[in-house]
Order: sequence, then structure tokens, then C-alpha cells
Amino acid sequence: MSDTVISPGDTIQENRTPNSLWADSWKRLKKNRGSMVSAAIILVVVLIALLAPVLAPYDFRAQNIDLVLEGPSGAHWFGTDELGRDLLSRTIYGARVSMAIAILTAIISLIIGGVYGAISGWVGGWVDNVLMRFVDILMGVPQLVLMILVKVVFDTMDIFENEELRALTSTTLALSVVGWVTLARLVRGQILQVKQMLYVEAARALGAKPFSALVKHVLPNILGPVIVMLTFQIPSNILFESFLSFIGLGLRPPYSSWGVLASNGFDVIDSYPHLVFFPGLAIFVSMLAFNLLGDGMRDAFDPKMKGR
Amino acid sequence: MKIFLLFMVLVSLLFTACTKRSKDTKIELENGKEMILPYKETLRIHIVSEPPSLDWHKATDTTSSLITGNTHEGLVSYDITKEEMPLRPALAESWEPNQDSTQWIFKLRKDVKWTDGVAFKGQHVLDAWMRLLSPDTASEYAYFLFAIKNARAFNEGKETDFSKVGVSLKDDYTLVVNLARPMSFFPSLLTHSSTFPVRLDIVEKHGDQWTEAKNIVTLGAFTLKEWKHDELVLLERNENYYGKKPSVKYVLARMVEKYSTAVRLFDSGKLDSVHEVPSKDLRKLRKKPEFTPIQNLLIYYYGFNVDKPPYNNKILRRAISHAIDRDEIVKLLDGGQTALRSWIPKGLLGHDDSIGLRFDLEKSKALIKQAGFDDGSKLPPLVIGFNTNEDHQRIAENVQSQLSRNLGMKVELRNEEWKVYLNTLKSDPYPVFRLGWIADYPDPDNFMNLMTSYSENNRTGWGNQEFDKLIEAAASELDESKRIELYKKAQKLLVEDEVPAMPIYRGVRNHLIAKRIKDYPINPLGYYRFWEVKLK
Repeated sequence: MSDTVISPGDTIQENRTPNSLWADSWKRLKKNRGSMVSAAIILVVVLIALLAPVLAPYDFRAQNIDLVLEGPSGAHWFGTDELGRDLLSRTIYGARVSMAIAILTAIISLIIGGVYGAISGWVGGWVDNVLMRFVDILMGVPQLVLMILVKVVFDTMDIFENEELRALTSTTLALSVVGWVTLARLVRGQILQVKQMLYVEAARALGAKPFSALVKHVLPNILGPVIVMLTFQIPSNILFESFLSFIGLGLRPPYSSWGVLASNGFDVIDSYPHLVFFPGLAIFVSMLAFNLLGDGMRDAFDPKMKGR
Repeated sequence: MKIFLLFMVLVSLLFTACTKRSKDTKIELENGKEMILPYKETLRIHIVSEPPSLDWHKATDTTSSLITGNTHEGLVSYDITKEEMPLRPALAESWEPNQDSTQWIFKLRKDVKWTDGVAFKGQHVLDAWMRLLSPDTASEYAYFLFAIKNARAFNEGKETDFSKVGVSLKDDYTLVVNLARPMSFFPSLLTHSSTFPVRLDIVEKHGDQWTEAKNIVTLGAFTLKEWKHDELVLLERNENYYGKKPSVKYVLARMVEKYSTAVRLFDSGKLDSVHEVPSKDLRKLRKKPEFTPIQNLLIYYYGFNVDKPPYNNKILRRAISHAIDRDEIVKLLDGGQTALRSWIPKGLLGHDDSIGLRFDLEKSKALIKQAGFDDGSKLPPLVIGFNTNEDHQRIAENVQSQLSRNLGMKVELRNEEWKVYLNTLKSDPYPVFRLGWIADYPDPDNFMNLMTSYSENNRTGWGNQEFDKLIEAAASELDESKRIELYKKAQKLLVEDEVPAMPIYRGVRNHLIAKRIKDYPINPLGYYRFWEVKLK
């Protein structure tokens, strides 16, 4: 049976190929100007992070004792910090850590949480019961304690020679251990809801295998809330990372992230506001961008919001 | 938009108007009850952390001794009203040495009562010194009394009978101390909290909990009213104190780890004094009328854990000490510190600026080669530990940068909270760790004694027989110029040859003292006793 038949009365009927959801969403997203600007900002930030060694005007570690705590100037656009290091270079390098940790954590949480939640919700029964009780237990443990525990354990394992890489992986893992739990719950809940929808039943009735029904019909319909959750997680990951660094469990000096820069600058906010302003601005702009893009994507993925 | 802004301003004004409260401090006690401390009767001070221990035989740090020093007393104390801080009688009315100062006789006061009403007796001093010296207590300060006959043998378990130790009671109120060697400054040791008397019955009754506010029994000018862990310590005037009673009724010590937070609390009128300000904010703070700097008898140093290879090799330790430019650190801090290469700070007998390793990269590189490494980059990564604090981090980051810039070394930094950090130093110190030492009594012996092989405050693991002998000889030497010579020799051995530690600078304490306070105890010993403080 062909699916391109135009029924009478319908002047513009969209072409329903299996990929149409993505194409549709992209089309809708493109129309949302805020989201597109946000996407561009995120792209720029990611590029800055990747090209940090080329873009940074100074070595982010280089200390200049004669130029300590200077305000913004021609030579140092963002000024210098308490050890005479160029703040612009440090902010650029900070983007690397902040972005890498935030995005990697989101991806890892999505993979673990998504698969876990999907199995739990789709299979149901005692499997669901067992899996979800485990999640409940994890939820019962205070997040910070769990995070610090994982971090300390990974830190003692000395997987990488490079200290920055070691801190990066262990922080990412520590944040993921906490992050996947909420995602697993969300995905399970959504699947429970969607799997009872008529169109899923219809697909199963028409002979779709459970797995293909899950992938083709259920997953696309739960993407919206999941993406919103992820866009909330990315900025909170940036903050959690800075917290870990603050209590001496995250990155170690001289490596730095936006969170570390901002919290260091916060000590002397009255005297040297530039120390907190620039890293803070970077955090603010990228968090806003992620949130706006997330909003746009939620709308774009929601099949019920066609008319926008 | 403008209307909205105006509205916001009005709302915030309303908010501040509503929250304007009296200046009295409201605190919540451990038992959940609230207590109001009247502004005019409460001195509100800043301490950097939870006191690691209020058991004065176990404490080794300045935070603990600040609390203990105000709640408790020893046989002797300092007269803080005079600038040169002479000794003054405390629990001992008077003391007398024999001809060569090997025997000291202390006459004790008879009118002193502990906070639970029990009369103070010489036995309490004897008990305390036995507890301090007992190997079971494992006190870091035990070596303080090693000048007493047989004290060291008792501490090392070679002598189990305390009556053989050179301290005894002639009667309830006469203490006789026999020293193993002459010591002219013996009474000044007794100003230190580790030598204060103790009530063994209280310690036995409460075990580990005896230092809690509800259990502890002391006899000083203040009593420990409340110790809310990780938050505050509250002292109250001891109405039964034998001496002149303090004029402030309460001393509230708030624990604030960050200097900058403490300064903010000071600015908003919630603290009356801050004993240390963040170095990176000095440019602004220096302009304040409340800014009060004082040169302290304090050295800031980096110690090596000499048991950890490759720094068990003294050639390598020398190389590192040569590669750190102290002047750069002092310039960075810009707070009145002076670079220090020798061990005894300026202001004490035996200080000599010519001693110590100068900043010399050629020498440093040659020494690294001599130790069997091609250059600094071939050395395994060096881990430097410090307690969490913005200034210690700033210095550590500079040292890290210097070593990597000057020698190509990889340096990693680790930080821990003060109490945890002290425990780490006790059990397994970092390869390189930061510490400071402020004089317990103004004598070079206090600084040199610290590094002897039997001093538990020496965290480096280094011990040297020759050094120990020099220090003992110097302590009992009554001729000043001979004493100086001995200290010169010992210092050369310590910071030029063996280098278990690298002195960095002589310290300054930059205080903020509120205008309403009179006679705040500021002195080079950091001897904060609030007996004389008056509030306006």
C-alpha cells in the first residue's frame, strides 16, 4: 500500500517517510530564531574550546608577578588574576573543561539512563520492579556523598598519566553516576505512558516486533521531555563541577574551569569584579544558550505542536 | 521597564527596613535552644577552623591553643599589657632556680578553684606532666619537657616509673623540678598550653568526650560555655576566676574557613576582629582604619617527607630549595612578609641572614644531575600538600609555577581541611607539605627544637644525632655568644646541608580590629588572650 495517496480535502499533506519526524523537527527548529542563535553560540563555544591553544593569547599557566590583579587592558582584555595570569586565556581554556564535562556527562547519563529506563519501562513486571528499586536506593543516597565517593575512588585508580585528563574523566564519571538516575526514571515513566497509546498498540497489532515498535514509535515520542531534562542537566553539570573543584575534589591548579575561575574571583568581588564578571558571563551565556536551544528542541520534537 | 525597576528598588528597600535588627547576636546552641549575646558584652572573633583538639596535651595548632589559652592557665604566663611581654606569675606565685638553673622550685597559689569547685593542687600539675610524657598519650608536644631529668626515657618507655622523672612535690603547693641540663628559660616553657595542669578524674570519667563543653573542667579567666562543632565556640567569663576578671562577658569565636568571608562578616559588623586577611585583597584592606599589621615570630616553610623517594636524597632536596625564589613569593603576597632562608626568624637570638640556600638555578640543575637525573623534567611528579585556604593555594600555585618554569618539573597540588590535613601529616605526610611555626615562647630553642629527631612536631621524618646534640648543647649554654655559634652550626646543618625543610618567609599577621575594641591582644607570638579587652 502506498502512503503517498493524497486524500480529498487535504491540499498539503506531508510526505510520511520513516525519517519525517527528524526532518519535521529540523524544519520547525529552523523557524525558531532564539534556538538558532543559541545553537550558533554553543557551536562557537565548542569551537573556542577545541581551538583553545590557537586562540589563547598567553599560556594559561604563565604567571607574571609584576602584573597581579590588573583590570582589563589592551594587553590583557579580561585583566589578570591573583598570580598575574591572563584571565582571557584562562577563560578560553576553562571552556574546554566546562564544556567537555558538561556535554560528556549528559551523553553518558543519557546512554546509561536511557537504556536502563527503557528496559525497565518496556519490559515491565518484576524486571521493572528490581531495576527501579535499585534506582530508588541510589536516589536515597545524598547526591553529593555519592559524587564525592565515586570521585575519590576513581582518583585513586590513576588511569591516565596526564593530570588534567585524569581529573576530567573522574569528574565526568562522578557526575554521570548521579546524572543517569534521574534520566532513567524519566525515560521509564514516559515509556510507561506512551506504550499504552493507541498508535503503539496499532503498530504491535500490525505485526511490529517489540524492539522495532520501541525504537520507531515509542522513543521518538518521548524525546521531548528527555531533551528538556538534558538541557537542564548540562548547565547544572557546569555548576556541580565547579563545586567539586571548590572543595578540592575537582580539577587541581593550575588547570581551571569557568566554575573555578568564578568561585575564586568571588572572594574579591568588591575589589576586583573583573575576576568574576568574565567567567560568570561565559557561564551565563552558555547556560542560557543551552536552555533556549532545549526549549526550541522540545517544541520542535513535540508532534502536537505542529502549528507553531 | 522603568516602573518595574522602580518597583524592585522599593521592594528591596522595604526588605532591608524590615530586617533591620538589634546588634545583639543570636546563636543556636547544640541542644537546639537559642541564646542572645548582648552586643556590648560580647567579643566576636574569627577562627579559621574547628579547633582540631581542645585536649591541651594533644593539640598542636594555633586555633586550639587560642581557645585553651583563654579557658585555662599554666604556672606562668605572659604580661600582655607590656610590649616586651615579660613573664608573669599565674598558677605559680613565684619561682626560683638554683645556681646553674638545673633545679627550679615553684610556689603554687592556694586560692585557685577549678570550674567544678575543686581546689587546685600541685598534684594536678604532676598528673598533667605525667600524661603529657606518657607514651600512651602520644602527645606531639612531649619533647617540650625533655629537659627534665628522665623525662625522655619515660616518654620512650625506657623508664616506666614516673617517680624517677625529675619532678616532685615538696608539699601540696611546692613543685620541685630537676633538669637534666641547665636551662635558663625553663619557666617560659610553662606558658605553653601543653604544660597546663589537668584533672585526671575528669579525663577518665568522660574518655574521648572530656573536652566537650559539658564535660571539660578548667580554671582560666573564661569557661568553655559551648562548642558547636564546625560552627562556633562560646566562652563565658569565669566568675570564680582567682585573678582579675575579664571585662567582656562572652567571647564568641566563629569558624570561617575563608579569609574573604571573614572579612565580609567583619565589614557587615558581625565580627569584631579578623586575625588574617586574604593576601589578594590587601591593596584595598590596607586603606581601612581598622587594618592592624604585626610582625610575628612566625616562619612559613615547606617540609619534605624524607622517607619518600626520590626526596630521601638530600642532594635533590637541596636542588629544590635552590630553585625556589623566596623573593618572588614575598613580592606576590605583598603583605609585609620577609623572605627567609635560615631557620631562626629575625627578632630572635641566632638569626643570621647569611645562612641558607640562595636562589641559584645553575647550582640547582647541577645538583639534579649529581643526584642521577638528566634534568627536572625527568623527576617523578612532585606532590605538594597544603590545608585548604586561598593564601596557601596562592603560594603553592606560585611554587608549582616556579618549579615547572625553572626546572621543567611536574608538580601536583593537593589540599585538605585543616583537621584532616594535620592527621595526614601525622600518618603519611605528602612528599612536600606546607606548614608554619609560630613561637610558643620567644627563644630560638623553640624553633630549633622543633626539628629534633624526638620532636613529634617534626613531620618530615628527618632525624640527625649531630643536630640533636647541637640543640641540646645550645639550650643549656648560658654564654650568649657561644649559644649563637651553636645555633649557627645547627642551622647550617638544617637548611644548607640536610634540608628536610625549606623556610619560605617570616610572617606577618594582618589583623582587622573593630573600632569599638580597646586593648586587643596583638603581639608577635599570636598570644591572643582576651583578659584585657574592653568593648565600647
